Amino acid sequence: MSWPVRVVSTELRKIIAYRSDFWVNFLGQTLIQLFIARALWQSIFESNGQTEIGGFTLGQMTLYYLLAPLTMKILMGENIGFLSREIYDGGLNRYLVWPLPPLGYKLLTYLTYSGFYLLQLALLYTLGRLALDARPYELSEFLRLLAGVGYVFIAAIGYFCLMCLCEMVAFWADNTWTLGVMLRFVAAFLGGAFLPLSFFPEAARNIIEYLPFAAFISGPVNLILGRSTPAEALQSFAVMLAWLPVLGLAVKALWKKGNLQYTGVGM
Amino acid sequence: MRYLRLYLHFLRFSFSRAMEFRLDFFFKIIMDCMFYVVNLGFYKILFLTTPMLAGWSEDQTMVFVSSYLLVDALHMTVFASNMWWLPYYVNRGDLDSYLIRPVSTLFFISLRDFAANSFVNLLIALTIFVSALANLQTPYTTGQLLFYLGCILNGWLLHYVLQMIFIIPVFWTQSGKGFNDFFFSMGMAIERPDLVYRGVLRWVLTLILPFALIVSFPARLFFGPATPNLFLHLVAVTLGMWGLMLWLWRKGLRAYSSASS
Repeated sequence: MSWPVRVVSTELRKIIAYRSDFWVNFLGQTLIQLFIARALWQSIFESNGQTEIGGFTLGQMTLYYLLAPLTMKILMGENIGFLSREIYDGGLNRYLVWPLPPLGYKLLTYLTYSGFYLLQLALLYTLGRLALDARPYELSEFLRLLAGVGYVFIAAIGYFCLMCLCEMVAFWADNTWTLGVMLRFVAAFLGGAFLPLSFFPEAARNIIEYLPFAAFISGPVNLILGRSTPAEALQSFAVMLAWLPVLGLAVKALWKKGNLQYTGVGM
Repeated sequence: MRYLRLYLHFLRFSFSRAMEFRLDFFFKIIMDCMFYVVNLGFYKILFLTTPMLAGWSEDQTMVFVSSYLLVDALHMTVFASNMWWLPYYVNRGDLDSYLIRPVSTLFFISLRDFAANSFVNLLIALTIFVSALANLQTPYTTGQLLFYLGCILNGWLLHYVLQMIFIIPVFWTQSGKGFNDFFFSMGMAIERPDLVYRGVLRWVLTLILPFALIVSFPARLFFGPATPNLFLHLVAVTLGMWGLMLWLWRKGLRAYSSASS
């Protein structure tokens, strides 16, 4: 068995090792957040006496709030601390004897989590779509879902780079989890995980759509929901692709600089 | 008095520890400021689409939002760091050293670490709260304001109790991650007016997992009409949750198996 397959299989076993954690997370977190978001929007729809706000019906809004947090979860992969902990306690030393590239190994473990959550997204979205939208399920929707899943998976690589940039500050600072949390706040807000970007003022939207966050979250969500035209989806995808090499090069440069600082002993 | 003296020692140690890691200290302040900006921004944008939210105008909603920012800042300052470490103490058996001390273990593990950086954020949250109150169009008396502040403090303690209830299962599950993540995602329930919840969800969020009582009930009592039933509900559920937490804590300690947890 090649090392990437071994790494993926080990990580998958770790994910499902704590079963109570897994189910509480999967059902509790996803469903409770969805119910709360739906309750808020239901109240807004009723108090305004409208059936459509910002181009969303209540059913579509519910699907949006099912997809957006799940997309965020996929992007966040292994979550905060996946690299900074090892920098902090000297755990990076193991890569001196392991025949693996450290960042390649980290990317693979990160994407294993992302891939696992992607399955949750595909399953929950299909169930949600059938329950919340009366229209018949068409082949084009399935194809959009497949395209969206692929899009999110590539976006996860971009978000991994952003997370790495935060985590690698640990080469210089003692405690960097706060940077990961800040990134999460900014990404969720500017990416449209809290509110669809169509509700933002136009001037803000014109800037936000060129930042990576919107391309990472709103782009795939709108693609899956069929809310973006092919041209809009392609533009969003292009923005994401444009950011990937920039982020990748930044990670490479910081890794190189950080390694010169690394002492190999726990701080 | 002994506990007060002990707490003053905790404060002194916490401030000197915070000053040792200055960069971390500032990162945490910026992080909490971002949390405030995102929350205020969320409601500002929401009010571009609707004039009222669950019967509240924008100025009333901003008082509600600033109140939960205040509760969050209080929680982050006094309890949050301690709550973060408790699952690790249980999992690694480090709780032993707290159990043998001649003070209440619950007091010690809940209050030992005072977050000095969050104290700065508490001042920022307080400023946002005062500014929201200054812009409030609804008239209120000093007595009503003091009553509201009392209810907010009750909400802060209820927040602590609820987090403890979510952490204590670590005595049986060995990992606190799932429940902890669940607690943080429930945070969204605190950040919405309770009148948006209906049916089973309302029943859950006001009785079983009463996150909606932390700030939304106090805000409704403040904006009026303040019905005795609403206040009794708040008090009864808070006392019930305190009782449940203490009962679970004692059960958890009995299930604690030290280093082999």
